[in-house]
Amino acid sequence: MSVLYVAFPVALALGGAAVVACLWAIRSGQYEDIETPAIRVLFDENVVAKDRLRSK
Amino acid sequence: MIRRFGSNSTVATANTPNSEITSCWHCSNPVPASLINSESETQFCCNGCQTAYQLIHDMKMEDYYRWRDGNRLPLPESANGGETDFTEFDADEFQKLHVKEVGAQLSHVTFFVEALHCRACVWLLEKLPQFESGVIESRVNLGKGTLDVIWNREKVQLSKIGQKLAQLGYIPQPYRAGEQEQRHRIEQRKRLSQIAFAAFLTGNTMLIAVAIYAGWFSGMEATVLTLFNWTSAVLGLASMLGPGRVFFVTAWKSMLARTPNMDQPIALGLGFGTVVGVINTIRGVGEIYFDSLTMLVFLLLVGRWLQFNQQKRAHDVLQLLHQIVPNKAKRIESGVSKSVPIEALRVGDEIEIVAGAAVPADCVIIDGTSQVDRALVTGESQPVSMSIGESLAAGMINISARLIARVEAVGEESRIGRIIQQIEAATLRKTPLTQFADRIAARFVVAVIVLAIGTFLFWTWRASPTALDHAIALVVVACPCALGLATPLALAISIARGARLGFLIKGNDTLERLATPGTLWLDKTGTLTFGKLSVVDEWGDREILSSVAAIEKQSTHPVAKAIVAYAERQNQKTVSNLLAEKVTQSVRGGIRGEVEGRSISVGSATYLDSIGVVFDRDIQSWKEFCFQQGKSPVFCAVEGEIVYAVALGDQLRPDAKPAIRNLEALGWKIGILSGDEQSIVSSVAKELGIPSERAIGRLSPEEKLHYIEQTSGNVVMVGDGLNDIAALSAADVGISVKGGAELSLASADIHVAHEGVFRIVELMGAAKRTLSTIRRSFRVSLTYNIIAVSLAAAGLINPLIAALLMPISSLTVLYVCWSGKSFESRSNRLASSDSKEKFTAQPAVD
Repeated sequence: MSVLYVAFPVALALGGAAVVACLWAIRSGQYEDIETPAIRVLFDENVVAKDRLRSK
Repeated sequence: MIRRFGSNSTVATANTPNSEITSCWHCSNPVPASLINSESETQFCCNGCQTAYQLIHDMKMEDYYRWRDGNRLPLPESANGGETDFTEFDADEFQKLHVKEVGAQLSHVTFFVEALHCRACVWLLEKLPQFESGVIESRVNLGKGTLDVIWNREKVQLSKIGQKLAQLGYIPQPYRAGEQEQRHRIEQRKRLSQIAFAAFLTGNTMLIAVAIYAGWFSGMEATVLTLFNWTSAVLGLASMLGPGRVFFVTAWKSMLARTPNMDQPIALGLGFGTVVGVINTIRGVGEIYFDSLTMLVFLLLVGRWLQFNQQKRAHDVLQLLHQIVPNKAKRIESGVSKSVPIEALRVGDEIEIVAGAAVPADCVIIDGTSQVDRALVTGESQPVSMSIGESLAAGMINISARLIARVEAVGEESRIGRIIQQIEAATLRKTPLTQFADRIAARFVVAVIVLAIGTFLFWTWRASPTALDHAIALVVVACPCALGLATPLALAISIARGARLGFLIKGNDTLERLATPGTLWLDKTGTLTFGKLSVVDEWGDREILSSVAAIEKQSTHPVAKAIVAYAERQNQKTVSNLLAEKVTQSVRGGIRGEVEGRSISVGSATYLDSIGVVFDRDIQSWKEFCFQQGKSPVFCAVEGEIVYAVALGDQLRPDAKPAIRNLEALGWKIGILSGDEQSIVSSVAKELGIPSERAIGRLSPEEKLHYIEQTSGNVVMVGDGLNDIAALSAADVGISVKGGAELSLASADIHVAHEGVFRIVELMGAAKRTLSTIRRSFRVSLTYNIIAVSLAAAGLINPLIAALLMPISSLTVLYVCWSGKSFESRSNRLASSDSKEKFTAQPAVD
């Protein structure tokens, strides 16, 4: 059972890292707009058009 | 029926010869009879829509129409709708304020686009790079109504981008992220961060708890149990001191202020649970409840965030101004008129205001005479003649002739700017409503404490060693998570449903306030009436009407438009076939011309008098009758003799009377606050059955505000925007109705995207039903609480059962709220009453 004394801190650290990542995402404004991305998912992107855009 | 792409929006009316109104293919507004092209399949309400449609098809983007929502909000007009060159975007002053350089050749700008409201808009506007080469990227933020554009400075000018956007039907305005916007953004981030952290703590404590439960059944080493307990305690403490701190702070503050608050029982449960949990962990004996406690914190924070998100951000003062006042002005420099952005105007400048333009700043006329639409300030439905020495306010519209004026106040200093500032101040002064939930809270706390003490005493009397544990379990499990969630959930669901039906509701307590009847003040023009001049009565031989209309077609005066509309409804073909010649307008309120050889003069009594036409007794008494009713007569004379006359008025909406009856039945006291003449207001009030002491006319926006503040009790104001915005913000609930500009959402708590007063009745119904849903979910969750408390008092609660009970009660509350009735769904409405469709008809003459 002594493995738990290692496993616990590691698990918490991993979880903590996830929280930190989440906080970073929030602070960098990725949650500013949650309505529009939901709509964007539904659009069928014309792949040809996108390539044209990229080459501009 | 013309086959359409998208929704089938045919509105039956009782007035047109065919029983259908043709809808514009682009924006689905009704197409005026004169613009219907019988040879074409596609119909448009205006040149703008036709251009947009053409553009979209040229780029093969017809999918735009496929994306449109069924509930189409037509493109609104703003003060800058008429401008199509946007050259002010290229000016230095503008660039300094709004444009940011983000690369060697790239610049970034954020536009505010009023017409953004559906996914089709998002789809189309994010394809802007394909419409205009030189634009690298364009991104929409639907919630804020903004468009971010990154473009190559070398390849295209910002003005050209503005023009392209306008052509598509989306008029761009500069966007100012005001202070409130900043604060909201910071607050939002803080809340989300707290939720993220609380979620982490909850997840981990719950995992540990599962391990501990497993240990009950299969045995666990003491040291391992101690490890689990301590970790759980540390995480739980972190949750209380971090994300959970807000509950304790609010509970404390409201205790000091002696107001009941839902946070008090919550803080009680959380605090007790934590303290005892820590003690038990240190002692090494007894139960810990940290998994339930952290879950409470997490769920309640989510509930709060839902509530917070309902606050639709009020637009910045300057943002509002931009929608009322034009972006640029014509300043006269050394005798030459030069177009400058509005920010460049200074007091003392001389400006030129052409016919059809909006007044850019508060100013005094120094040359010229013209008819001016003063609806913004006075709410008058008819334009007024203004001349040298008279003052104009920013936002008024100059109709007929060119004016030169000297600037007195610009921007925030102008009258409309100051009114908007008053709005902000009034919003801050509003007292918050003690919500239904909070009122229960006080009794709840007392009940829980009493029961806990009772349980403790009982078990101590029974000489049980776990007496304290039972008492603690009771306090923890009685914690009203579900109660704390019920209100935000029910409100969020109601508001979302309302939004889909065109009711845009802001604020937490708006719906609750509407459920208590008080005084309902209505604006007259645009709300109770159509807000447009139309022919409501006539005298004499109608034969001459088509010829009169042929002459009036050449004028842009609202009176002319009303006459033409009326003539077309009577006999469209004749009007379009006749041609008027030698048409001249007079500043004395009249127009004359020749049709098929006949010389016809049309105008007010003053005008006809001045050209020597005689009024006999018959026509005089009809004229008096019109004035009594608050209507304006317009006379038509052929060869010096009056043969025909029409009376113009602002027609009452057909749904106004039944709506008023309905609202009175619900317990509301109705009144009218209007800027229009008292005689007109009184006659409208009489027709609607409103007591005359509550029908007040000739009010300035400031005076309306004063009336609102003077009324006691629950005050609701319904207006259509422009000259009501101060009053709307001061009322307990301000409701803005479509007909004005959508900008009034900033000052109103609710915006109804439909015309007519009957929608208000729907709103009131929905508010009542929402409140009853809240009450029902309270009853359900209280049932759970009673079960849980009984179990705890009987000594049957352990952390496992507590952990099970709480989510179940929350889920039940969620279900009750979701299945509760708020706004009537679409299908219900269409099925129930077909007569409601009539209320969207055009003004009619019997």
